[in-house]
Amino acid sequence: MTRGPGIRTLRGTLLFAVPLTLVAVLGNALASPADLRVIVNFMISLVLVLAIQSFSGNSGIVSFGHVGFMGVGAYVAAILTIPPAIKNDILPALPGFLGDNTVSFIPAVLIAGAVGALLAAVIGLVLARMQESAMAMATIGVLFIFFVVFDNWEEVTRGATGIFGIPQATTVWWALGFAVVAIAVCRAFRESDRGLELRSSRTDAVAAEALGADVVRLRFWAWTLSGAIMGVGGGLWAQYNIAFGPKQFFFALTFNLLAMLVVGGLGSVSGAVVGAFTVTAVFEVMRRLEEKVEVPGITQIVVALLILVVLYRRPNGLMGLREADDVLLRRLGRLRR
Amino acid sequence: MIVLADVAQEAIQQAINALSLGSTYALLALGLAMVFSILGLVNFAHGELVTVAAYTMYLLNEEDVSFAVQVPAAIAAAAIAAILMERIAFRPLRGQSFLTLLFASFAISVIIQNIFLAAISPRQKGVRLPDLFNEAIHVGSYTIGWLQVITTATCLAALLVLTVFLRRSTQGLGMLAAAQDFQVARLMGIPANRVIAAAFAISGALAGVAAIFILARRGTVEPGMGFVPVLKAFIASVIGGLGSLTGAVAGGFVLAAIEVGLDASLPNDVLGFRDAFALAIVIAILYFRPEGLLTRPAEAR
Repeated sequence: MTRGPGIRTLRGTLLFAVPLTLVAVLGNALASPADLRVIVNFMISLVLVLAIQSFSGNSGIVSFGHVGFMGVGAYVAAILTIPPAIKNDILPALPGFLGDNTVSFIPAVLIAGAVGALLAAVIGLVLARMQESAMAMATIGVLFIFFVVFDNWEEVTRGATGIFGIPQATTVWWALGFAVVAIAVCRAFRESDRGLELRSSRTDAVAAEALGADVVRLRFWAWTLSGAIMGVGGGLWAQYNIAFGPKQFFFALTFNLLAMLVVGGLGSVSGAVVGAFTVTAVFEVMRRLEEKVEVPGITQIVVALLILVVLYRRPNGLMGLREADDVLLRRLGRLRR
Repeated sequence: MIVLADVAQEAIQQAINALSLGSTYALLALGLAMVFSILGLVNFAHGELVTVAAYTMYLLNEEDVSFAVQVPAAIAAAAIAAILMERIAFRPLRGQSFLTLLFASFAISVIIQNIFLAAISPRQKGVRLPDLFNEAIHVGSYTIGWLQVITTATCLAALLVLTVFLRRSTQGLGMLAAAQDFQVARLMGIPANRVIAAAFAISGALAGVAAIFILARRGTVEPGMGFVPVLKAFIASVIGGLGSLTGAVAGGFVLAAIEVGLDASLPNDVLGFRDAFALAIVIAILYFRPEGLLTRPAEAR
């Protein structure tokens, strides 16, 4: 329990890296292309959920706006990677240097993250000053602003028609790699001094301030960090799903990502991972069932009911506020005695 | 002179637009604020009360029930839906954190939307409304749509009735007290369950009234139709200061004024971005007044 943040981060990352790697190896060797898609999209959604967890989990402020940063990352990656022949055709109004050039997979993902961080920082300057509940409401506004911009900025996003022609560069290995890095980054932030201060403001912001935590600044940096991870996730997502439109970065996805976070537990990195896994599993089972019984919307209803059941039974989510590795070690310690 | 008269006329016309739009926002924002001030719950499913009322009208319309019956039925349906929502979903969670309540209402919103989607249709359905809503009155050189007049008048009347109820009746005073400080109000002998049920019923009825005009403006129902209006209501109540009843009403009118102003002043090629500009202005307002326009920092919750 008393070990330093470095060890705890390593421990917490390994605990999930091992099973995730196993899933990737088995999926790659055995799964049908359709099932492999589910696995890769699960790994990408891990990155996205962890991004939201790094802000909302530590600050206790829900954000509905993060999918907007994902959209930014996706559009940035798309514009950077679509071959010029297609790009000049579908986005003729792009400035020349963007229209005629492309970058490869990793730079595209990193630039997507950087742009995500930049926009998050600009928005965070305003939002971080607000009261918790007002900030949560303002994030809905943020999501809406992003949607309106994606939907109308024809020159860059092709508006409601959507964008296509992105080379599929995200492999199951890259998705795995980024998911593991995201776990490590989010855990390291959680365990850091700043992360601890921010978590203390979650229970009582005024008391945290009194003890010397600069809550506004902490929220700002957590928000920016999570914007960066969200941008990276969007970049990965775009380079896997190769075509998309603005509607994909709106409430449906926000609901699914928040469902993962609520079910697993907002308060810990383990919660985000477990929640992403649980909701993906429920979602896939229900999707197959929905095709058979032909009741549209039943999947969403079941996921929403799952949220409610978890909120009634375990308001802090399946994993609660503690990290899985801490809990496991404590149990082991008890057994030894 | 003529130019000046044109400008004045344009301004008055826009003011009327803003007033009718703002009164719908105000009704929705007020309902949200009522529930929030007592329970600390931002009810994401508030928009689905609009949907319930609108679908009630749609279903009655299909049965050729007269409009005079549709209206009270829609308002009653929304109020009952709100009471049921509280009884079934929110009561077991009473006293939980802001976040838990918010997530729960988010889930309920999705459930109700998908019930309409599964039970009726994911597509838009047309609703025939009285022709009066499409006609206009000409007063001198002004043209005012009946819809705008009726919207404004009804909403103002509803606000008036509610104010009288809150200020003059025992039940209403109890609710105002609960809105200020729920814990202390309970200690003073105000029954919690009744106050909360009443708050939900009123918020549902207000949403039902708003739904009639939202439906009149768009002419169709669809499962997700409550989303944009409730989003506007969120924004309005944040502008006014979350939890302040007068603030919510004021916020509704401020938001409508911003939107109508942008509609009138933005060049055509950026008109699509109107909502983005409006929200950016709102967020800018919040930057300077993080607690909202009407709340003094000390009373913020």
